[in-house]
Amino acid sequence: MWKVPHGVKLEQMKRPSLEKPIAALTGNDKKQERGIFKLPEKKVSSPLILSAVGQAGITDETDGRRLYDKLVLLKSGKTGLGYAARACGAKKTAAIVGGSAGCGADGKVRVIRADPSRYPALAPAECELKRCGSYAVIGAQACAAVYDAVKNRKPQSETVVTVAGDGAPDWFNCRVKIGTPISEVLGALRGDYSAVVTGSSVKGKAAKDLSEPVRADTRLLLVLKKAKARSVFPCIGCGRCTAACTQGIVPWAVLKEMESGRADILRLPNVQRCIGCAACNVACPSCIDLCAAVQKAGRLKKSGDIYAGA
Amino acid sequence: MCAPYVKSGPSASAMLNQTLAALAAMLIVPTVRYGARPAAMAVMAVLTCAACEAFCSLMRYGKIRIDDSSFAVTGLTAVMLTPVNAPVWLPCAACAAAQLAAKAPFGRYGRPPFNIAAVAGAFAALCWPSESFTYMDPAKPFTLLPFGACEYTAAVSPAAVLKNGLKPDVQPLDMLWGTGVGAIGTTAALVIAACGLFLFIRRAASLETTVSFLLVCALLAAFFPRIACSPLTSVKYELLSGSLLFCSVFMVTDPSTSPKTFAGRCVYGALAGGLLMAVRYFGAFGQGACFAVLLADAAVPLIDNFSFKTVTVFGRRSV
Amino acid sequence: MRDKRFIRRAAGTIFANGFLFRNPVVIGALGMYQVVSACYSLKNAAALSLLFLLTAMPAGLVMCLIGMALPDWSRPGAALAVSAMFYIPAVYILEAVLPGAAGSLGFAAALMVCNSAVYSRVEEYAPSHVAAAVVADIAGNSAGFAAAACVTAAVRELWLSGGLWGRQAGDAAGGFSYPFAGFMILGILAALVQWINSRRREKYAEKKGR
Repeated sequence: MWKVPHGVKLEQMKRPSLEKPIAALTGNDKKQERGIFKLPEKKVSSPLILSAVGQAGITDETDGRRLYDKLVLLKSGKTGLGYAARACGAKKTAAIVGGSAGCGADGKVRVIRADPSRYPALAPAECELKRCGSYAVIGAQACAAVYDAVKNRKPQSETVVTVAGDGAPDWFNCRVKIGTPISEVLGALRGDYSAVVTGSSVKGKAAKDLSEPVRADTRLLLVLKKAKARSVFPCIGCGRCTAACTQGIVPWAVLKEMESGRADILRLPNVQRCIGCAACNVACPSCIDLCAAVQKAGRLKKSGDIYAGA
Repeated sequence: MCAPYVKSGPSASAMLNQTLAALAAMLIVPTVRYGARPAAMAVMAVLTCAACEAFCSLMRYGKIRIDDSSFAVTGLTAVMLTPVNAPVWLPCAACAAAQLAAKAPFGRYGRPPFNIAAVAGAFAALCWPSESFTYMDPAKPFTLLPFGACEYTAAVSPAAVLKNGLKPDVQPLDMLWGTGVGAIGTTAALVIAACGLFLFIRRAASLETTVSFLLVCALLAAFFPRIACSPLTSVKYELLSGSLLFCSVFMVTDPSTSPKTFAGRCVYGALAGGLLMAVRYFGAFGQGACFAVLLADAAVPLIDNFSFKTVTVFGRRSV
Repeated sequence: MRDKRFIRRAAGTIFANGFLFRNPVVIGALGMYQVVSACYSLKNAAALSLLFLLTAMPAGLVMCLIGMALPDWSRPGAALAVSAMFYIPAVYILEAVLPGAAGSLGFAAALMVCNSAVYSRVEEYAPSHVAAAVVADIAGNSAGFAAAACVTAAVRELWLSGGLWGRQAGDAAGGFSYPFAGFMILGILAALVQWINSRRREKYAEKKGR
């Protein structure tokens, strides 16, 4: 009996970014940005939208890629997908919404609910989308930037960052200019914190220097009171990584095979499907980097070298 | 500091600490009943395990490195399987042998394929059978000094009576409170059940292993009773005598030595239950929990292989 | 091979390999059953060691003589038959040296006919090597088997009765007389020999590097 995989429950959820309003960070630089070319009012064709997106320099916050490259790739059909959205000619669109919040859609857009307490939240939604055929997921801020580029001729210059974590007494969302130092974003923050993580709590990186700039794909600043160092144990065989994985991979078996010294690619099922969400790392009580082992196995399998081993 | 920065669920060391807390709670009833001797034995066994762990880490790494509390869990579990009137050196020697022979060659918690406490119990049973299986009668007067000699009246445990094909004198209901004849931690069935519930709720122990273990033991006791009585009575006596219940909660549920899949754990629990009843029925010792656990642990890699193949061929599909 | 110094040096190396560096019991894991089940007293160990030498040596020499003349498929059976043939005189000699030993060892002595260490030397090594090498190899393996058996037996007998050579054969009394104790001691010996081998490999690698 197969159930829709639902990933792993995280201690900190996306609620602050969904329920709190977006505040503008004061003291933003009011420098005039260079506008892009004027588009016609009616019948904005696909190549024109693509040009506007390219000139605006929009970065999709979900994966950090240039949106222009993503749309051109989708349009060219090199990935095998059809056209997506108006720029690439998709037949249907849908909005993936976390929790019970409304999305401000005009009723014509299909809404798919995602559970913000599970990680990765998109996995069940993507499971549903796969049944519709080829699909692509584009971030909300990138979509808003597309609109700005087409209608208002503005390049992408701002992003919305959520500040959360146990080191921040008040969690908030704020719209900041891309390139603003992290210290400026956290400037008004009251509370003791010793570490700041950019990116998600699962796959993010600790910011070594608070003068690091905010990038288009910086969605979260996690402020931590204490930088916990966890000791890594050998696999204790609890099986929680298998329950957490949404792609049908059995991470403990992959780890065992990769550690054996002579990995047999036939004993690495589904590793090529790894999306790198690291839900297995979150679930693992031994703090093993299972995601790295699975991705290494995926590269090994992709290479096709059955004698390579670990 | 490294990703993930916000983890869900307990870590391996937290799970061990929860098991340790449950074992420490098990010590309360015997200490209240028999005095300081159970606590003294527990302290000495844990210190012995710690010393062995320190020695082994010195040999391996050149420095003393103790990262987790698995040594304390081993020490306390071994003490729970020992009679209160046994010499204090008995669990210490058993723990030392188990740590040096069954844990040190393999490494840290998670690596040894055999349950270390079961190895300690088996070692004590094989090398010192009379000290391991001589119990005192708690109903008669006794003097138990924490570290000295004991004065007591020997009694036959319900498990030994069943082995001889006779019905024990004590009622099954009286075997729940920890007042019966038996090892330190195996007689208080209610306390064991409460600790088990705590561990299952905290997910430090897997419920399916215990359920399958008890189910198989109960079925075998019902269909093949050793004494002339109703099947239900046979089930009550078999489940409440010896270290069966203690083993079902604290030994077969060890996540590092049991299989890694749900189906595998069910098979493992059933296998351990069958082996335990086989040792009880046909073995030389009246109590065979440790041997059954060790034999089942030997089969775990096979169970893992088989259940992994079944899961990947018939079970999980990707999104 | 006519150079006597070369033969002595080669024989010495073969003997050393059989005795220590490729010990049949602790490194080859051959013939372990008799060591773990019966070697809980030094008398038992001595008896088994003598039986090993007296069975393997003549059987090895015979197979060295006729081994290559036999077809491949018949060589295993022939090796066992030859071992069985020399088992009876071996027991006779053992009884003369250690009276009552063979009888009290029971089937542990009889298993020497199909002891995997004896079989491997007699069937695999002896037919394809010269007599001098076969003698050195079997002598080394016998010494290795004797060393493993005697060390195991000494530790177990000290634990069981506090002394050596006092315990009667067949007098099992639980505890360390069970096979698990034999396995534990063999494991420790195996680790020791593996460590010696790894040190030798490091020294050789260093010498080669220079």
